[in-house]
Amino acid sequence: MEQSSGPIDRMLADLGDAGYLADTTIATVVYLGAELGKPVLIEGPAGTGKTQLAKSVALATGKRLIRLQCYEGLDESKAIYEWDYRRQLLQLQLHQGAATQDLTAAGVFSEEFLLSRPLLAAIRSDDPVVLLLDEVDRLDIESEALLLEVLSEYQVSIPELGTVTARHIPQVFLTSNNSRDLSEALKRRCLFLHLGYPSVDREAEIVRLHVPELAGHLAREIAGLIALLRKADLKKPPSIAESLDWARTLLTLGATDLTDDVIRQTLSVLLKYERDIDTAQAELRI
Amino acid sequence: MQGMLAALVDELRNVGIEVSVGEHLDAARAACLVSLHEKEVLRSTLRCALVKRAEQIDTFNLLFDLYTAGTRQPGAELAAAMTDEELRATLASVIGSEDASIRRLLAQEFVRRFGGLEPGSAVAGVFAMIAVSEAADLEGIRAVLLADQGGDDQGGDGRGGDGRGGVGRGGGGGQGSGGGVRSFGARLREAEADRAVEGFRADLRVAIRRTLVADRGARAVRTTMRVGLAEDIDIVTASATELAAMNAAIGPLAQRLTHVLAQLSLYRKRKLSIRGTLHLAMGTGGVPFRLATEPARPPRPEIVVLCDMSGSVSSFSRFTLDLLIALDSRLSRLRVFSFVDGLAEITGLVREARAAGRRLDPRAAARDAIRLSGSSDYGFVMREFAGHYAHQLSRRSVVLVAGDARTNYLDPARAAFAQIHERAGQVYWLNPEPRRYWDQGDSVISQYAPWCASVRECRTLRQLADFVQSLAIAVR
Repeated sequence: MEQSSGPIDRMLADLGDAGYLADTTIATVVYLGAELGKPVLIEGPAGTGKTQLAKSVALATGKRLIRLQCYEGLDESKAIYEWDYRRQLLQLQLHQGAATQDLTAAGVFSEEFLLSRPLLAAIRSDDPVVLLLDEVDRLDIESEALLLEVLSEYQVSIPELGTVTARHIPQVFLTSNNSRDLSEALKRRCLFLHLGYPSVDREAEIVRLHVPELAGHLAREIAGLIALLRKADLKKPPSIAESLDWARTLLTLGATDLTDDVIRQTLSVLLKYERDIDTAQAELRI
Repeated sequence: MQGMLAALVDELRNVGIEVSVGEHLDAARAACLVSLHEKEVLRSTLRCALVKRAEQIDTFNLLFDLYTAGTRQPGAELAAAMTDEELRATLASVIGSEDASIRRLLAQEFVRRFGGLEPGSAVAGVFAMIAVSEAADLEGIRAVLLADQGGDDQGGDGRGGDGRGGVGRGGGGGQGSGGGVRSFGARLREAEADRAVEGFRADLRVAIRRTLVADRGARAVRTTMRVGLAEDIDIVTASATELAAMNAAIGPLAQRLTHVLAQLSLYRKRKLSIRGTLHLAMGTGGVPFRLATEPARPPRPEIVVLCDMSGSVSSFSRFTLDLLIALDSRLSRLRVFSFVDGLAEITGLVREARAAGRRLDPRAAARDAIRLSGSSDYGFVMREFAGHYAHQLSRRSVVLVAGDARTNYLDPARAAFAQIHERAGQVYWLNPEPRRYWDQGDSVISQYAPWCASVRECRTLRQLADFVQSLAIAVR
């Protein structure tokens, strides 16, 4: 390991304290995202800790986490803001009977009738926040555009009110499983971080960090086996979350050692398809 | 630094990675924030600003190495003083270790001694790689690694390998487990040894590049490396360039197709929006003078493609597969089936190929679609699809069949096809055969035609464009 520079070292340590085992690349990109005020787009296969990274950054920096889960058909009123028309109606009834020109006085289009959804909430927040836009690749291409103004200018334009600008620039993370290509416009605005499966050594570290009660040599063997399985032709390769589940299972069973029998009994924790389990047994020659 | 960055960006653009001016600026601003002396930090810094696709990362790393190579590492003299034997022994003891800097140092020394890279001579990187691998006896080291680690899996106290500093391995089978069977252990050790050797090979490649760059300059090396170490730079090889060209042509077409198909299958019913209506009513004191409707949902049709992979249309299937990859990058609800005399869903394969930025291998796509003979059986395929998948179709589904409808004189199973038509919103047939051959011999295209909204000859991009155009007219 080379010597790392001050702020990046600190980021590594902070993330470590928050329970996230980062490497130089991850720490560098997170640090730059915060310093440059740019969103970080995290891409990679399912279960490699993309969402967890954003959560850990929030934990490490003591900022509040605001999360927007993206899905097909997400629209403005669920992502950015909505007018609270029930309260607006009540307000109007209070002014019933007044002359028409007094309607503006009733002030139904003021900030107090605005319901903040995650994006506006992050912009309006009084304290610095971490904004997580989870699984942006699930959005329709058309609704991706909703995000652009927020991500590049950190502001929201509301026709009836004007423009709301961020008090603190939120630290933004976007995650994507790459189920479709994101638009160039979105990618240009972000720093890019690819999170693949970790190396054997790093995965062993992760297992040790999260399941410290497990014997040390087991963590290493678990990581080695899982690396082997990920190379095999599986429908759903095991994710980090699943290797942790497996480690906990072994701990619960009180296994002190990996034997063919133990693996056979617990393989279903790791693999979710019958076919995969067969493939894995052939691959491991058990 | 600015000069190096500009040259790097230039080179990235040369190999087809688009870097915008804004991204170039981002990289420059980011580089000001980190220490320039740490190569890995600098690499991550520039990479996160310049490269936005996972499959371009390797290419970036390669170019980055070329443009930052040159500085001699401390400790090189120490390695230079060792005899060949000592060098090999040191390598054997650190090859699996996590200490990358020692491995790199050794790699550099091996290349210096055995690479045969004389200044000015025209030696390709591949030859140097072969020479150095042999000199370092990597196969031998792998065997030693395997032998060393044996024995600790028989359930004994096997804690061999003490004193082999830094060899990170879990080792040590079960103390106290009473010797459970660990037949997977051999496989695990193999993988461990392979990883160690592969890791050192990568170090060697970097060292060779570094030496070449020091001698000849980055630009010259980049040019020869395209030929020399092609496996490093997959995405700039010819077939990928072709794919990019194809994609550029197909891209807009796929978009149009998506749009048109979407309109066909959409329910055009607009719902009254309570929220919107009340919002409008605020301007008139809460009295709803105007009605608002829910905004039209962005159309999301489900497109199901059935793709003939048999020998008679093999030249066409390559084209179809490219089109599918282009479609997949724009549609989240694309399902793809390949068939010959069996039916197989290949949606996953298409998705993987698209994500990795490569072409789909026709053989892989056809693999599970061959049931018996390998010559097409449309009747079986239609029955199979109607039986297993028809219930998943809905009015929003558009079924595209791409094939020549040559059944090899087997039963075409028209009833099954009718059933598919009944379930789906629309069925289209694209036939790669010239129209004059239709219904000649074993072609039964006209038997399927009654249930298709349209049957088209489709052999070229232009004909595909025509098909899309005609759809657009039909929609209006």
